[in-house]
Amino acid sequence: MPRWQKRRSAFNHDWLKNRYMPALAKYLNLLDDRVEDREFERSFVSNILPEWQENLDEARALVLDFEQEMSPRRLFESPPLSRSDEDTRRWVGELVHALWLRRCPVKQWVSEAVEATERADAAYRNLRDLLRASADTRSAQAMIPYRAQFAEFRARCQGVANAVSKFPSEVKVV
Amino acid sequence: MAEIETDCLPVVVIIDSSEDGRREKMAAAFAGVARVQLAYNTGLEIIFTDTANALLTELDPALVTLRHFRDLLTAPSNATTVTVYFGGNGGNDAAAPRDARFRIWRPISAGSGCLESSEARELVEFAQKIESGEADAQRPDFLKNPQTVFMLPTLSVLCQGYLAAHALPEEAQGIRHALEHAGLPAFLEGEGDDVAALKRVLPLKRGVTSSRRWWLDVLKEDCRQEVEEQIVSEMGVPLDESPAVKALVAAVYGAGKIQPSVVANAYCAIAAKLSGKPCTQG
Repeated sequence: MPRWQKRRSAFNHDWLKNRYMPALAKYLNLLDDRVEDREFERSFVSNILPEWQENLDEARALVLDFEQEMSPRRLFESPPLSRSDEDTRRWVGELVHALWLRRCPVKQWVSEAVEATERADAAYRNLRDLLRASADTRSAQAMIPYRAQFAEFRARCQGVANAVSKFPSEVKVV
Repeated sequence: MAEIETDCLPVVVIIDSSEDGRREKMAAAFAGVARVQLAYNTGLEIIFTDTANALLTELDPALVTLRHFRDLLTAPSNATTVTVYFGGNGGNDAAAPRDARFRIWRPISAGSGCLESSEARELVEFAQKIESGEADAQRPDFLKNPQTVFMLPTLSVLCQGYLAAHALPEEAQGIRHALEHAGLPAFLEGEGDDVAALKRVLPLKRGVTSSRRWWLDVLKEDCRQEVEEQIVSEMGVPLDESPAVKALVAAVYGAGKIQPSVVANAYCAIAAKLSGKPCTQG
């Protein structure tokens, strides 16, 4: 599996979709009084919510690295194409990269994912600023007024997950 | 238009508890090909439905079960001819059971990677062959480990380099179908620094790309048999059934210059295999 795909799996599949967003969903259920979990209630805002900030750099880098890391030009870095001479690696590499950019909406995928990430981050920062003014982030009762902002942030995270999912899974040469 | 009689279609069961619409998207690929039943775990209970969301009391025995790697314990014992595992991490997922004979190797998410209609049809036909006792039936490409597919992409890249170098108007006539498929005429008529730089270089590469040495640097002089065996493995048919690719190999390991029509035809055969989109004659 190409390195970029492993990074995508770690960020989008393992963390965002299977850990972070389910935790956000559970917290919303908690605010709606549909589930009860005292430990989770006490620790969510201080321990789990800030994971967004910790993963933001990787989200941005992942999206921006896609064009270079999943380009068919990368095939020249391993056998058998790595056996070609340096001049061929350069000009054919440039050619297949340029053709790939014209065949696939790479720039569009990237700009959509960048936009989704920044929108999620704006929603996160808005929520964080509101919570800073709150005296008790360990109580669901005290967090209920911010439910709409939590829901907004979760929806924006879903937007990131969808945008990152759109990138193709394979290096495409045609 | 007459409605499709769904009762006589084979059953495909999709077991996937993800809530992002993936199981519905996978199910949609089987429209008209199979009667799809869905199973998922809500965390509180296991739900069985059909594609119209009608609840089922149990699943029917299936021709194909598509099982998410993280749903190994959801309806684990439903009878099935072929079980195909899949997941958002692709076929290398650490949760893959040791005895997983068939898995979709690319990552599958609601956003990308879900089976296409043509692949769903191919999967059903493959499972029907297994059911009828054809144990060595040729498995669909998406069930093959992509780490074992490298020769066709390699040849395609070399073909694209060659074709670009031979895309001059006086030479392009007989290879137009391949040039069009590769997007070369539109690219070379376009603007941008990348196009300008390549347009200066490409005419200088006609000689070198026509020489067998240029191809053999990559394929290796003494490896014809390995190259041919790899092509057969990746094409999924004997070399005689891929005459255009066979002709390219013969030219590379033969004598004389590599001819444009040989490369164009091989490019098209490989492109049809890799992308599912054949070249169209202009």
